[in-house]
Amino acid sequence: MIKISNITKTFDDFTAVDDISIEIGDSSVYGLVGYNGAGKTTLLKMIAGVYTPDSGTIEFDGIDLFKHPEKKQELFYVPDDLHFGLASSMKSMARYYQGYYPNFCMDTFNNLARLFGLDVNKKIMGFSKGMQRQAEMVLGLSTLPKAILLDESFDGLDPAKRNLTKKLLLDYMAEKGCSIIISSHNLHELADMCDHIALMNGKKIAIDCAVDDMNGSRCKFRVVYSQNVDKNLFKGINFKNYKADGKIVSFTVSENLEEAERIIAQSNPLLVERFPLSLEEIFLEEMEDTDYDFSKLFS
Amino acid sequence: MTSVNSSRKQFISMFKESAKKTVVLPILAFLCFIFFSLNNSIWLIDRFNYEISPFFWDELRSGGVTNIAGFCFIAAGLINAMVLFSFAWSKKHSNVIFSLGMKRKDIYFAKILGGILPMTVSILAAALVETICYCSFELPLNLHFIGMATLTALQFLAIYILAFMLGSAVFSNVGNVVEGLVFTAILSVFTIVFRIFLENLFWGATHGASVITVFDLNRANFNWSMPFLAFYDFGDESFMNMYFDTFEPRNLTIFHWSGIICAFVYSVVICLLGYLAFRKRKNEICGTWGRAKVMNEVAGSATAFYAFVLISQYIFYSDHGDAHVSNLIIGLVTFLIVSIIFKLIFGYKRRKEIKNTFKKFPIYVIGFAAFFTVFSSGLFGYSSYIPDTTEIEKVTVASTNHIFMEDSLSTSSEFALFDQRIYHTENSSISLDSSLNYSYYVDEFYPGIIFSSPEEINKVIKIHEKLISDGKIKNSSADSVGASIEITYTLKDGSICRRYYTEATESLFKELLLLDDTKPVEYTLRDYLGNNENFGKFTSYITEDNKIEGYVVDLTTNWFTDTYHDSGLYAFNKASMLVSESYYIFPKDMSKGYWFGNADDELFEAIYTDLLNLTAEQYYHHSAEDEIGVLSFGLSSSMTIEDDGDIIYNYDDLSEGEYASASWNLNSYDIKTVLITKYMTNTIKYLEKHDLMKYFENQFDIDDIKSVKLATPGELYGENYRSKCLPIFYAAYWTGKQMNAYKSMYGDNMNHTFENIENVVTDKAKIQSLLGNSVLYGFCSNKNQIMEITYVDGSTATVLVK
Repeated sequence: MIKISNITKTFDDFTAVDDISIEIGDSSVYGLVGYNGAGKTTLLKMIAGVYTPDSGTIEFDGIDLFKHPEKKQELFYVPDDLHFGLASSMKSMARYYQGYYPNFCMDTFNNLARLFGLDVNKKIMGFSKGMQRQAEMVLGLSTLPKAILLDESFDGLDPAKRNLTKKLLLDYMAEKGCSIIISSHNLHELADMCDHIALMNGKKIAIDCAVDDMNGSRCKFRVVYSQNVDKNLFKGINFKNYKADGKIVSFTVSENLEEAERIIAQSNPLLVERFPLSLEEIFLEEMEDTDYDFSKLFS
Repeated sequence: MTSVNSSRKQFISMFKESAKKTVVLPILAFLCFIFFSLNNSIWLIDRFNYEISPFFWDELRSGGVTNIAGFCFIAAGLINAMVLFSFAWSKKHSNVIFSLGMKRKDIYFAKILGGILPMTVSILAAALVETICYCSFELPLNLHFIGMATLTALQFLAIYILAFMLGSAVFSNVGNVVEGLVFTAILSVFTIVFRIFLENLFWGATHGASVITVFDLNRANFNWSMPFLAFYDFGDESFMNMYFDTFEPRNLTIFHWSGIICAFVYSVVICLLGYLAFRKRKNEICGTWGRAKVMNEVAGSATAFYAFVLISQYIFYSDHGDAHVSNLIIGLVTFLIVSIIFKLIFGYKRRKEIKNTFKKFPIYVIGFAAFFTVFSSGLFGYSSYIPDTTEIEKVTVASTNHIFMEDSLSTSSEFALFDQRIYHTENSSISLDSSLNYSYYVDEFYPGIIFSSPEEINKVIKIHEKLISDGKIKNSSADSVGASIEITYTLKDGSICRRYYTEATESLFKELLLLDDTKPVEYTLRDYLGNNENFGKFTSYITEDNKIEGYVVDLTTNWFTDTYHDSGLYAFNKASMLVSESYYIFPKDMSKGYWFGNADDELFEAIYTDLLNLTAEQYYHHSAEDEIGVLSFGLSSSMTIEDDGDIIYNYDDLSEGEYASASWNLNSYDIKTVLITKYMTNTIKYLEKHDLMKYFENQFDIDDIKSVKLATPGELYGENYRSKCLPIFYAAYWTGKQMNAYKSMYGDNMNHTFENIENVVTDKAKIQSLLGNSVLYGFCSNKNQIMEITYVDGSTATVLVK
């Protein structure tokens, strides 16, 4: 289990991560969502030990990673920007990692490389971007980590390899009890994979909950009336993204769904529809999508 | 697997990885060493045949190869540091390195070890090969050889490690390679500038004594300031020969090891500092500019400090060495300005960092003020300490100053450089010191005379007490002279107390000259003058009818007089004279030289005895009437004698360039000249016996003089001359032909010292009076006037007016 407690990181005057506390359990896939610059990569780099936090602690199986960095031998970080040695092949990189990860398994490495169809003797620099990502994934999994940190790691993978990777990760998690933290902008992908989602809204964690809970606690209402209605009709409901199109009104509600349904029912609607929110809609709702006037922008 | 084991495995992995990355240069170094070993072996055979013994890495240690090798090892250290710590500038690479389960300490030291070990193995293996080559010629493998071989091998290793450590400390803590290179260059010269700071900023330093002795175990003989030049003194031929070529083993001293010791000590310190910074390093600086705060601050402060030293020194010297608080203030303002400029170039948030510079500035001011306060107070009695007489076993006095060898009319060389009786040595072995003082030529006026009787020790103590009571002597003060005086007490308990003073007053220097009348100086002189084993075996050459003939040499038409000028009154050394084939007699006006054949033993004995018997007063302070003329040895190599006695001057057929070259060689090495005074009774007796006194008759009279110029040394050479020349004068003479040749050769660029002197005397009576008071050699006070005499035939002479 990875436990992040009150962690803060500033870059000069800019606070990238502010007093964040989260826990990632064993056998869990934890998705990190947030807009660009929200602090996802910074958080991952702190867990990996690349960045040192200004305050707070990160524990892995109850061991402070900054006091005992050797614990990171059970953790593998796949960064967004991959690095391989000049003229390195997968085989030479495997030998390299073998020196630093005591659990590195050469058989697993060879098996995985075969599974992905990668030539272990070929220079990695000659690989395509997607193949390089696969190579890193193969190397990472070959260390038999108890935790994997993936930063935008599915970018550049073709759909087949993407599915293969996802499946492999989920199987690995299930079999080995591994914790996986994935940072991604691909919300559909995260929704498919993750059992837990944290939404970073600039420095802070806006949402940190299980995916199932997220689906049940938020929904979108579409209500049809016989005549135009006023927004005040829904007083008492904490709604967002209110849109009125004549006699049809839609909005999202993220709390007290039963109370909202009761208030809507009292407003004599002709039709009430309730839809679960997709992860993307939740993201947009939390990020409060920026609106603009096109004519003013290009006047 | 336990975490300790896995950590060890990680460390070993990183070490192996690092060693693999850096192994190319050690392999190249090894191959080069082997090449030199093979080459040396070939020479070994040759040398062995010629009974010249070889020494360790002979060919590698000769001439420019040494310097190139030193440079290569420094470059190798820096390159390997860059290779190993390049991850520190790359975001991608640092993601990998820092996400490994390794402590930063392990990362840093594994890489350090990986950078050092291959080169260490390479050098030691190559040294072993060289030793085997050496032993294969059945040459003695004794302690001296082992000492020298170890020293040689460690020198290569020491400068490599120092460069590597410095590079590692810097490159591991910067954001990009440009910062790394610039900061490394800045920090690599820190000790040199710090030495200049201590040595030359004495206006704010110790009361009288140079602070440099605080840091030198043996003034300038402990290489703490230039560890990168651990080879430096090996460039000195005498040191190279000290064991191997002479077969007269001499012990290696702390001086020879000092560069290595310092290089290793500095390496350890730099390594630890580098690690401390690396441990706290923030990886977000990777690939950025100006965000490496620690290194920026260190390099910025160092740069500002350098500027402080340079500007303060410049002001100090341009201000004739007067100590002013304003020097300190201007230096500090420079420090601040350079700090700001540095922040503008290397800063990240420049405005904020410049503000911080202003905030920190008072701390630096307090630091400088504290430093100068401590040192200007005499360093807690350091400068004024003299051991109790009863504790002293012996005391050594040495006096040095610089020589400016110039071959034209710039005439620094005509003034006060060579002494004809005490040693004259162009000593480049004190090169650490001299190189910082812009000259490789240091004259050891007193090379270190040892006084051991209570009476003599008291004489030295009185001189030392006067040095202390004189306190700080301004370089521009009227009575300062350019004599650096070193007094070393060896106490009965074996300890050493050494004090080094960079300035002296005229009156003190006169007292120092009186030491000539003591027995130790006489013994030194006796040893020096009589050190030729061939003495007494010399057979006269031109003595057909036991009569020595003099041949008149017309100096106005022949070149060789130039050599007389430049040679001045060189040190008289019997050994030198014996190798010469003939001698000349010059009258006091130096207008004509009378050539003779080989000197005989009787003449040498006479001169030898007279020089030993001369008192300091007679030698340095004799009057114009006391001087008779000059005997000059060693000029004949440029001449041949025909059967009819005519002299043929080989120079006549040479072009100007060839001439200048030949002349330079002659005056540098061959000419030995002795001033004959009336006190030299034995020599005079010899000259009278052979009817040679007539040749001392002057050729010029008052009507031959066109004009005379007068100037004090300060007017001639600038006020700063005092810190550069001993207050001893010797005369010079140029023929008219030579003057014209110089003019045509150099034109407006001719550096004629008297060119701008306006004190011209044309009154015959006054000139006659001045001539009556002029000497060719002697003590020259700052108030004395030097006279340039221009004759109607265009020839020129310089003499000292007493």
